Amino acid sequence: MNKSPLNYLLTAVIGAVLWIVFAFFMGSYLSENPSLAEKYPEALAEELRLIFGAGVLTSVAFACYWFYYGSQEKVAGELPEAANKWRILFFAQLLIATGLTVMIVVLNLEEGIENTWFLVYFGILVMLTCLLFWVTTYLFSPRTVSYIPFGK
Amino acid sequence: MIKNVLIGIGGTGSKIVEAAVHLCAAGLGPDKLNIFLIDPDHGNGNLTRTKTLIKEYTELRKRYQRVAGNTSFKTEIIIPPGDEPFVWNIFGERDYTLAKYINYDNLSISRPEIADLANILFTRDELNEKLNRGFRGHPSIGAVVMADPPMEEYPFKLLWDGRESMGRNDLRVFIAGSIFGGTGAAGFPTLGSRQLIKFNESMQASLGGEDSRVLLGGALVLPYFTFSADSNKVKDESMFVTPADFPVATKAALQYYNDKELGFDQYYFIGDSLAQKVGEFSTGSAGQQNDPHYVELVSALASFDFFGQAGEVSDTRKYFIACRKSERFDWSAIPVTRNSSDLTERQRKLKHALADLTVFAYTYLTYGKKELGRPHREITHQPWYSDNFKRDYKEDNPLYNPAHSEGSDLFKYMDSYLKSFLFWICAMDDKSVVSLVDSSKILAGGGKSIEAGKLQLIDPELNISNIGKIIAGKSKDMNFNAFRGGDGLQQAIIRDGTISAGSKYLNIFYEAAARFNRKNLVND
Repeated sequence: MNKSPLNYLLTAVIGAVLWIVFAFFMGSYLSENPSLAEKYPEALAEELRLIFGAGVLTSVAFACYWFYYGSQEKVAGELPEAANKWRILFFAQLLIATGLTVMIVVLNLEEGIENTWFLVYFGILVMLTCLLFWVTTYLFSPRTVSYIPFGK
Repeated sequence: MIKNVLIGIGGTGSKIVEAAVHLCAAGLGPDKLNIFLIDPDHGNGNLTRTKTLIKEYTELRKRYQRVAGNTSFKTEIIIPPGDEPFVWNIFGERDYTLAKYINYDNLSISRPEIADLANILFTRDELNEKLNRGFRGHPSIGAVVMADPPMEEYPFKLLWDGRESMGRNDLRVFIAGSIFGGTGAAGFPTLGSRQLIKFNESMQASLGGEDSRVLLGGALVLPYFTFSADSNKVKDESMFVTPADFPVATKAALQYYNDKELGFDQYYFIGDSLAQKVGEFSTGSAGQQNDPHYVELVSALASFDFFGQAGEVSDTRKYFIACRKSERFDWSAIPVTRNSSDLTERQRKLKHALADLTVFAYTYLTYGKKELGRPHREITHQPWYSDNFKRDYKEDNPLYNPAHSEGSDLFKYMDSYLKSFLFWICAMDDKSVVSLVDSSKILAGGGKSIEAGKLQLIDPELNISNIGKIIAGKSKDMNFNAFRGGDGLQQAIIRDGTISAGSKYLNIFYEAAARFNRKNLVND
């Protein structure tokens, strides 16, 4: 599972499945339960779909870059640098999740959505970015960098 | 039951045994090989080097557990047990002379006619020269003192242990020495005489008629090197040999062998006209330590060709000849076997075996030792290390921690042995004619001046392209990242849970070297 192109494909599939689960299957729950002043729940659901999709896309893109980088022969000789790179990519995802949550907040400033819901959206975005990146790189990293993701 | 015994006589004999031990380390030797040496020069540098090497090999082999498929150090080298000597120094005390050996002073009084005969056969210098440092190129002295070796004592006893169970030609004895020096030239025909080993009555070697338990072979090494004869050193010596004496001595010796009916069943005559320099003039002792030479490698391979004869040995006389096709001596010029149909395959096997040991030695002594010296947590990013050690790692258990102190002896002997091996194989690289390995890719300073034990190895992490060019000949020039990556270490997963982690660590590097060479080397 750590060979190209299987690792790229599996990562894209897992990303797509998670996006479908949170954007569609849980989309109604996430958009109908918060208090909305003027916006229709369908409009909020549309926003969430796009923002969750952006999170998944960056995570998959980061993971694919990691797979490409890790499959290069020279990386065998620069594992400490590779470990730094992985950490940078991972924490960049956290920043992206935070940024996307801020975007949801800005887009719905006038709606009076409870703070708890923004925390829920942040949690989901962390899952779709950092967690997705960690899981896919934990499972599918090329041999050379397979022991770099946290917990391995 | 076939038993193989290799006897090295004199300085060249020691160096041939040295080559044979290294070939055994590369996995090319027979399963068991009995070895002993003959040299009156206790402190001879070549002898000391070979003695140390054999000791290290046997000690290392006791500690090194190899996994299936790892053929390095496959050969069990057998030397006399305990403190029994594996070198026959001929004289029991120092400052022995030929006059003392034949009891010349007493003979002059009691048997003057015998003393007169001695005066005819030997000059006064020859009679009175101290023989601590060999026979100084005078084989006639050695022939006298080596005529009656103690067959029932070690190391000769090694020949006869277990002889009762041996049939015709089962005891394969191979004698190696030079034809042009002193000790080898004296010992070769003496030990090769029919009555001493081949048909030794008291040791029941003879089976009646022309049948014997012993199949006797020998490598006679013809002049193949020169050395600088410093006139200041030479003038202080009364008896010595220089390269100028080699052809005359060789001619005389060959005439003698032609006339004399010796006990040898098979001869190998090995030499080369390239006459490379192997060191400075020395009459013996520690100063006589010459660089390894490929003729010694070829001579050691001759012994393995002799030992490797399967089944019944033919009595029909056959002649085989091999020589270089050009001025260059490369892998395809090595005469590995008498069977021409197997030649190419055996040459490739030799090349790969020596290449595997070379790359193993180089990578382990540099990168391997560096990684071993780091704390466990710092190495776990390396997939080859984690796959092999991370899951079961226990700091205080030698079965799971490669850096455990219980493995220190194993690593000590391995370090020392592999340095000797790299010295040996790199010293053969003369930068012009011999093209087996490129020492400048291994040794700092271009490999110009090397000494065993003081090797300065190039860091493969800083010079990543070197490793793919170490072995001379066609290659894909793969680099050290390929060795660390998917073409070496990353694929070297050892699943044998019964061996110590130290042995496992070494097996990983050997396996990685073999994988790397299989990918990198291109067969000519």
